[in-house]
Amino acid sequence: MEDTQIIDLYWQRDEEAIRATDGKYGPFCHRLAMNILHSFQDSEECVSDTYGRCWDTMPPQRPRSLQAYLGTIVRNLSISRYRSAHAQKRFGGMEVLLSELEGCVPAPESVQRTVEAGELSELISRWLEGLGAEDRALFIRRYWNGDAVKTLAGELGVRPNALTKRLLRLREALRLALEREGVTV
Amino acid sequence: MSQKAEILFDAITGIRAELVEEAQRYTFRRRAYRRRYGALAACLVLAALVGFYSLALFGGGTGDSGAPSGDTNDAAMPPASAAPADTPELDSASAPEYAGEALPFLARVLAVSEDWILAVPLPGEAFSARGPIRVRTEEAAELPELHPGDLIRISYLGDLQDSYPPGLRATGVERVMEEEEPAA
Repeated sequence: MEDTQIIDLYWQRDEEAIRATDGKYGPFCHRLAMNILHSFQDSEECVSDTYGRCWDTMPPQRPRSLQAYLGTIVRNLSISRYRSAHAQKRFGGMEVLLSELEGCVPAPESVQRTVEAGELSELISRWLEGLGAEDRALFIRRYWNGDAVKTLAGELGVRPNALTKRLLRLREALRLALEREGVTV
Repeated sequence: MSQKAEILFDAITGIRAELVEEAQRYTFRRRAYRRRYGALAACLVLAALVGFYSLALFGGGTGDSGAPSGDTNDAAMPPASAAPADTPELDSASAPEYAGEALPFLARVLAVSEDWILAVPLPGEAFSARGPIRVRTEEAAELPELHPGDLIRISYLGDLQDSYPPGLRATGVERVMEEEEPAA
């Protein structure tokens, strides 16, 4: 079923919308949640909450990309769950992603202004657009999808170590790009 | 610190939807075949090169200054890239001054591996080497599928590594159609 048809079902308040969403994007949503939480049960709940959130927000929302819309909700719900349970040190996947992203935090001496989340997202989007298609897909699959380095290395047919170095260079490039913009977070 | 990483994580969550969609559709070009066969091809090519240059150095050759006589392995030693017999030094290479932007030159592929290409620059190019050079491709933006014998245009930032064979780090590698090759 096309995304527009699924969105129409939400707008018609037809519960088939949730079944269609689960059929088409269920595995995608589960993978995103699992990549962050590393817990099947928590991921199940996140995905279930995601469908509920979709039901609540469409209408009035009519996303251009249903996949990106779902992914954004899953990520937000997963990180909320992570934050609420952070003290228990339960979610290793998120810990790893965050420790890698620390490498992108601009140096304090470059601080000129603090940007809002939306502006930072736009800066990162622009930086991503300047990358080659493969690097862009790689960065997004690692830091948006949260796909494991080993998985991505397998898809690329390279050693995980080589991919780790490539990701390190990408993070470094992002940090420099943010510093050039005089941005701090 | 990790709080800042979380802010970045949230910002990444908010990147444009079309970028996310494109990444989900993107199919990575697998390089496993290169790992499997690239090393073997590189060994064979290096053995052939060492043999050829040994002959040229120690008088085993015929004095003919072009391609090795009787050598029909065009992929390993294509005519366009063959070094003259009076220039037997393999490791001498010169590069133009770095001018702050990518420097392109044409070369012929000898072997392809996961992270590098062994190639011989064509005579008359701004980059000149009297033998093969090792081109690291980890940072090349778009890497086409390459095979020994392919003509390629390599871009790099002027960083020539003093090693044997000389090495450089490519910022771009593109395959060139044979018609584009300038007349020798």
